[in-house]
Amino acid sequence: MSRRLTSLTAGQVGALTLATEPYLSCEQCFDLVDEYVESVVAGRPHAAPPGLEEHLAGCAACAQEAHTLLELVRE
Amino acid sequence: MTAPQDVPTSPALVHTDRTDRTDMPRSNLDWVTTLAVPGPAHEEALRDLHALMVRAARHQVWRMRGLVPGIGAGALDELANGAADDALVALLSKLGTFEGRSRFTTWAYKFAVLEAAVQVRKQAWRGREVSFEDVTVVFGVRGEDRVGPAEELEALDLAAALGRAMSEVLTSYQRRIAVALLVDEVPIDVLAQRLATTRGALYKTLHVVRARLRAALADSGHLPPRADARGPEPARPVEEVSS
Repeated sequence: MSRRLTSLTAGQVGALTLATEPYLSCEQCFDLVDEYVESVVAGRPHAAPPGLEEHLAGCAACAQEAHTLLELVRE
Repeated sequence: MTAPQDVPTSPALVHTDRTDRTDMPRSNLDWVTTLAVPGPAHEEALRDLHALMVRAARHQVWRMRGLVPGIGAGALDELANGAADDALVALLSKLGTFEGRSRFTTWAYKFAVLEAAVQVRKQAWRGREVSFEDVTVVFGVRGEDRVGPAEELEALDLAAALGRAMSEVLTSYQRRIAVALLVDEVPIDVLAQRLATTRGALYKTLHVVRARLRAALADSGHLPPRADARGPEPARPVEEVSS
């Protein structure tokens, strides 16, 4: 017997239908995030590698960690 | 602790790091050589690196402390120290891969931040059941999200189409992963641990789920038809991403 899903928030609808192309894995995100965060701090956020910002928008865990890294680098 | 011997020698490593909060700033090259090559400076560099990682782990743990309300300050510090220890081991095993594309301290921080975040998420879900049964989707949008009649109708129409798409274009496994991560908000590390898989594998599944749902909604006219069209929530720079 399966569970019934009877409602979703607008945020959940957005999360389920989010465009995350081009694909970037969590491992690739980890490899790139330190350089990216430094570019954001330096005022060059557009230097993001392809797919990194899409990955951060679609992966709550990587986004949470990137945000902390940003805070640490800014201190 | 044994350090790898292969020391990168990129010119970028010469960058001097002034954010390490130790008495004497080290260049990237100083960090890598002292950590990789046994010598009088090795133990001191290890101590300094550990201190950096404890600082980063504490920052992450305190940022996420709301997830573990029953844990006191002492236990949080213990958790951060444990995470820093594990992160230091992970970093040293990858020291030879450091290319100097960022400051060494930033590179080091990310190991501690990752480990601390994973440990807090696991601690927060310790003893909690994760539902992984399949779902039948019959839903609209919750009342608090309705902002007006036209928007309400549009949202309900999209939600109904999304429900159909979830039933029709996803496999049972894909549906369960999507619901666990995005509806039940089970942290990806926790779900990976419970299913004996990896965070990367789960994210890949989620990526495929989103692509299939978007394609189905484009086919039904609920989303723009372009394959590369942006979703309802476009990607944002990291500083704008909610944590």
